[in-house]
Amino acid sequence: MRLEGKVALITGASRGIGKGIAEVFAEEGADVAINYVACGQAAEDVAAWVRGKGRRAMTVKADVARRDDVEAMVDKVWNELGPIDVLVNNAGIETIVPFLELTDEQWTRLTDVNLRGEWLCSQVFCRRATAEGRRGNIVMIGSIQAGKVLPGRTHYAPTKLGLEALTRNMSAEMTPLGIRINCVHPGLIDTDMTAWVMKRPDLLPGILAQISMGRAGDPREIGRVVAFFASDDSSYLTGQSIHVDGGWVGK
Amino acid sequence: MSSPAPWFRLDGKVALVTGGYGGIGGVVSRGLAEMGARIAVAGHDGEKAAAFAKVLQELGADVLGAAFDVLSVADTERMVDQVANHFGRLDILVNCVGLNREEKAGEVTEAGFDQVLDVNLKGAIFQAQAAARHMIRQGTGGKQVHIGSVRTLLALRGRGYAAYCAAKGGLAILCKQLAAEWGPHQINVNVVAPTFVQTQQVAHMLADPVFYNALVARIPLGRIASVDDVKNAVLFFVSSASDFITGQTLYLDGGITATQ
Repeated sequence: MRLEGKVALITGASRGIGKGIAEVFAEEGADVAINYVACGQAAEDVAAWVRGKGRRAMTVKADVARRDDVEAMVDKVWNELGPIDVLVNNAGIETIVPFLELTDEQWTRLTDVNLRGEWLCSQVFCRRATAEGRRGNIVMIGSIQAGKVLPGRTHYAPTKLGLEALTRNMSAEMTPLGIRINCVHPGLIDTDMTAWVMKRPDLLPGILAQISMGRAGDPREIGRVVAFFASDDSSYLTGQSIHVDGGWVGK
Repeated sequence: MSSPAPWFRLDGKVALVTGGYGGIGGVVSRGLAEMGARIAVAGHDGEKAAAFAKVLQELGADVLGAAFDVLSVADTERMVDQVANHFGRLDILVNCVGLNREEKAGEVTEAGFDQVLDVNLKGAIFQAQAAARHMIRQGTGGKQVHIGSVRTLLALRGRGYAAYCAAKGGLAILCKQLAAEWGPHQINVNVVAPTFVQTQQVAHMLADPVFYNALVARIPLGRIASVDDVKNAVLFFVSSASDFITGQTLYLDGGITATQ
């Protein structure tokens, strides 16, 4: 198992892709802290699943866009599960609003969670890890919208492309200190967040036709890629962003 | 490596590794065998292929050594067919064939340019095509990994890399196109693009302390890639862990491309 003995904090892990990552991490031997902001019971269910695999698990409520929340979250995990080895910055929100209608508040809330939140969680984790002389690993969860235009995402897409630059720049500063940082850009993954597409027989075939492999992905498929980046099997990989989209972007 | 998760196992799969006894290919072949695959080790030197196949056989693997001329499309097809016939199927291609011939841009020769493009780029499409024909006919998908280079993305100042950069740059978009065309057949085509790897091929460059120190100083991870780094990335791309990744180039470079 590739993550045996590691402690991982996964943000936004109560459902969707984050849940898939948590499950794979448990199967790969990691103890998992499941962050959530709203879905406490769902987070507990994921934790129970992880414990069922013989791993330790905890849930931790925090808004990743609030520094005091994030600092308290990292402290809590550090105290209860031990020093964090792997941070997966998965928490994110997506709304669809035409550019001409987008408000200041919508821009600010979305960029606060999707971009500043990943920066903030990374900084709090890296400060703690480097202060204690520990190595670490961060995996950012972006989106294919880093490289692809979809309607009504003038606020969302820049956060995801921004994560690539954040990944590169944090990698440049943190890799020499022993913390690798990479970014995974999922395509269409079958989750609650994409139910509005997955459950629309009038929309889905047209979208699947754009995906070379002709299907949506499963959250655990993202989990397996993240597990690779979080493991020592990728010990020479840092600053990279990879699309996990069945062949959608770039053609 | 500790015991891998089940989705990394390759039991029942047949893998062809071209350049399969070389510095990178040899370690990749061994890694594939450890994951349970049956292997064909192919290269231009039949004796070396057979000798390396014997080494892996002694470790308990089911291995075939095969000779082929990457510069001949007909011979490439013949070799790929031979491998598929021998094992009864073909699931994985790892193309580790590569060659560099340095010529400064003002002095590039037609022969030199053609040789580098033919081995690195033309060789890749016709290996890919011959392998894909079997994968498509079988109807059970497939995995192709081509070894690229950071020269897919980064030029190299002060050296004669025009042909090599053109070839490796071409390889990335070639594989993206192959992924687009063969995605419906569930064939994943990806590129692992390392920086300098500790192999014989670049030993003469790494032996120059000025070059070596300047190179390592630019790598955030502070070291050259090992062949195991490449092997682990290849094993990821041929496993079911990467079933939803195709047409991608992964730079295995200690952070260089991200900081240039």
